[in-house]
Amino acid sequence: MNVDAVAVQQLMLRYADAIDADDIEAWPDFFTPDGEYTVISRESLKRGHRIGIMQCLGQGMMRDRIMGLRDANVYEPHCYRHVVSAPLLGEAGPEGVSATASFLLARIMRAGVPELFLSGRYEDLVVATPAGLRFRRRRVVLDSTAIDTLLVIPV
Amino acid sequence: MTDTAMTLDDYGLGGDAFNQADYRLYTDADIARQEQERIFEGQAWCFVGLEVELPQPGDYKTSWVGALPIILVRGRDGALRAMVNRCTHKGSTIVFDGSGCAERFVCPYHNWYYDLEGNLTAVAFGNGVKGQGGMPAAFDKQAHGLRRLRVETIAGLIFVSAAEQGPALEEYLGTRIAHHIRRTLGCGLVVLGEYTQVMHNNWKLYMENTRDSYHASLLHVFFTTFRLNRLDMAGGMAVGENGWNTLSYTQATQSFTDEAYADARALNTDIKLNDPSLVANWPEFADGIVSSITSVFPALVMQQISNSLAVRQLVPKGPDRCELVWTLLGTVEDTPAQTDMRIRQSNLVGPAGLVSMEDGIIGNFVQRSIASARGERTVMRMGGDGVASQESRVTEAGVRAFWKAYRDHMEPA
Ligand code: FES
Ligand SMILES: [Fe+2]
Repeated sequence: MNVDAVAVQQLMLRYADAIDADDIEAWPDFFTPDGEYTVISRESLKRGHRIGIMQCLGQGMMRDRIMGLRDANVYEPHCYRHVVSAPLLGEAGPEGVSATASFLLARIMRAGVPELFLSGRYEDLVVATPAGLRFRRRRVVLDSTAIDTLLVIPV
Repeated sequence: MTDTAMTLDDYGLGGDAFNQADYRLYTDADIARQEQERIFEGQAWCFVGLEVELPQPGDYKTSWVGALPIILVRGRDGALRAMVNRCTHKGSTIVFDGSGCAERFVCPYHNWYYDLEGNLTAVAFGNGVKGQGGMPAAFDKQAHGLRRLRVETIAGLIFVSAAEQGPALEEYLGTRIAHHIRRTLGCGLVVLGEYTQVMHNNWKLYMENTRDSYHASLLHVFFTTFRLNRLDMAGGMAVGENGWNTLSYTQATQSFTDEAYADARALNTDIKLNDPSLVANWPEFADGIVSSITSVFPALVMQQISNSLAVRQLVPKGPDRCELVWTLLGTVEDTPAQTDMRIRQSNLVGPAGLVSMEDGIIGNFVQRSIASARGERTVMRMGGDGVASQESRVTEAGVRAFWKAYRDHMEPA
């Protein structure tokens, strides 16, 4: 598969930009219909845990999360600011191309100062579709096992 | 209490009603210190970990009994032991890497050696060097072992008690609660996940919340929206014999009505899940209980939400902060399809839990508003007064039971 680093980086940046701009409804569209999105700590990963903080298996579960955060869940209004490194591309296989990137994520509460909320690494499997590049798998590996208060907006 | 003449009666906790509590109980640093002494290092049984985390001789992990750091270790004889993680020399933390397997513990500071039972076995340069220095001949290593705590287990859960004597664990829990723990976790546990949630509120606010069946379908609208848990389902609040520990449960689904919610926040009844596999489940327990929260004083919660099983250990960190250590569980008997359902359902719980994320912030909503309180009290009268079990979940009986346990430990009769 012919996927270049610039295109993968554009996908990653558009993803982060959509979330930071509160365009969360666009979030599932960065994935293939069967795409998987998980958030797990590096410690859990090391221990072989099957469950992390979030596990969306397919776009439907992602849409249900958005429905939850828009219509059901109670939390204080806040937004994110992502800083995402340039991606490191791995092997391109028949499944797609693997890519990783580091991120820092600030959380900004309504009247608060920006605070470093999470840091970690995206571990992605990117595939070319007729509509452009999509994540077949996006694993968010958090550096810490601790989450402050709650995690409602996807990382 | 801050004023030594004050008793819990002055904070609204006299008598048998347990239907009010002074807000200063959540904010006062002196009270937090007394809680450490009288509850966590008193007669309470504190949950500190799971047997499955320490399968082999020498396996250890560190944990907390309130503010007291401990080492939990499986000895060469297979027995579990708990000891204070504080060197008897100058107080250094001995084990600082969380978990592992060891033949002995060596303090990093001056290399005092302890065996797996906490005995001091060697003191570096204890005999001096070339006849100079060294410990006095009268120094008695046996008198400088690590402080030990009592250990008991039930269904793979490890509890410790810092008191030299007190009730046995089973008696402390109560018959119904002990039975429910065995029923839920009794068949070979597997750790599926683990994370920590930092909350900016007093630890008691969280523990009350876990016994508060009144709030469940009012604060947590995701559940009600998708008809997963309603107060009009059959269920109740069971309180153990001593009135300390609680089991809030929901029986298999009955028909729904919205009338009971006419004055609650509007329900969007059109919402359907895009992917119902989120809540795909199987009837795991013969008693028909589909959801249950067991809350053991002071700081353990055991959760069965559909097939999502977890234990949560709450660790106070001063009056206005606490850390909740979640361990998500499966069993050795789970089929791949059952594990898959547990994984999907795990989206309902934890700091990102579609159902329960609100519990991460609601304690702080209280904490931030009570800093200035000077004698005002809560009102906990839903379902009457006192701590008797109730066949309804529209009750604060479980919360009142927390305060009964609290007083019985803080001011034993
Ligand atoms: S503090 Fe532990 S050996 Fe000195
Ligand atoms: Fe709750």
